Amino acid sequence: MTRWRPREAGEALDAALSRMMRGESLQVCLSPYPEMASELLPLLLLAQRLQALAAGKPDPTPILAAGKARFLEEARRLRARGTSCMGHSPRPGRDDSLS
Amino acid sequence: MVGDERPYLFWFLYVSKGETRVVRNGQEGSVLERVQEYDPDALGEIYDRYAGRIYNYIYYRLGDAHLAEDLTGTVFVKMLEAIRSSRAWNVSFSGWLYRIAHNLVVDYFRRCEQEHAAALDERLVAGDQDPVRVVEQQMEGDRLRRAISQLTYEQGLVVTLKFVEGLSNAEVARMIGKTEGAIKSLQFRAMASLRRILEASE
Repeated sequence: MTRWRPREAGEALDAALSRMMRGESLQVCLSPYPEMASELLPLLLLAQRLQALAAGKPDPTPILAAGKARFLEEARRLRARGTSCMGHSPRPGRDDSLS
Repeated sequence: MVGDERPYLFWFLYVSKGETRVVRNGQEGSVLERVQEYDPDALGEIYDRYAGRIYNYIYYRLGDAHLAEDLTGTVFVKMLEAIRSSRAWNVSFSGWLYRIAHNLVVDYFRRCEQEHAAALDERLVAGDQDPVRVVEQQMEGDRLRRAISQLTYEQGLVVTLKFVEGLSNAEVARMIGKTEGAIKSLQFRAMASLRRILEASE
């Protein structure tokens, strides 16, 4: 997609995103990268869509308070059982086997 | 929500006889040792520190508050079940929690995609909201979530941590064991892939 090296493109996008998140205009964000602007602009617009999605998330505080009680109760149950939980452990080097 | 995570994010990488090892800082290492003994105070501290972030991650990926609540609970139960394994995590505890959450999200998409789509269609619109606008927002959210689900694990994680949690490149780098430069490249690849996926579907 890009003729720019990954590191160069990564640096440019990150710098432009940082400026956008500080509230600067897209034009200002892209001004240091005129040759990359046509490629960076759609990515900045996409970043705005992603940020908008994050803005609608609910406050988890009350939900998590109830969840904490259940979590501590489960831990108490496991502790009382004295289980080693070895049957549930991931295999060595396979921490991503958890699902 | 939760307290400042930064004091817990100091990790030291060194290379010894060809192996990269990770040494946790004393504070988190001590708490995690107590977590392995199911110490209630330590468990409470870890829960307070990470549950909100894990919830946000799952909610952002699925867009369903009840499901996010259930799966956040499941993440922490799975953590309890596996925490005593010496290989439970390799680079960072928080990165391991996100990996568990990610696997649950992927499993959910895999097992219940049709049911989930039906459930999303039944979401309620509050009385003071414009129904058309709410539906448009839901459709936009669903489009983005479906696209993010097609990214690699690391690409999806970077997008979520940067745009939902607002973490810095340094914080994301420590969490997934990469350099800041690598995170910037990963972020670029993630955004470019996401753009291609969305363009193909819109």
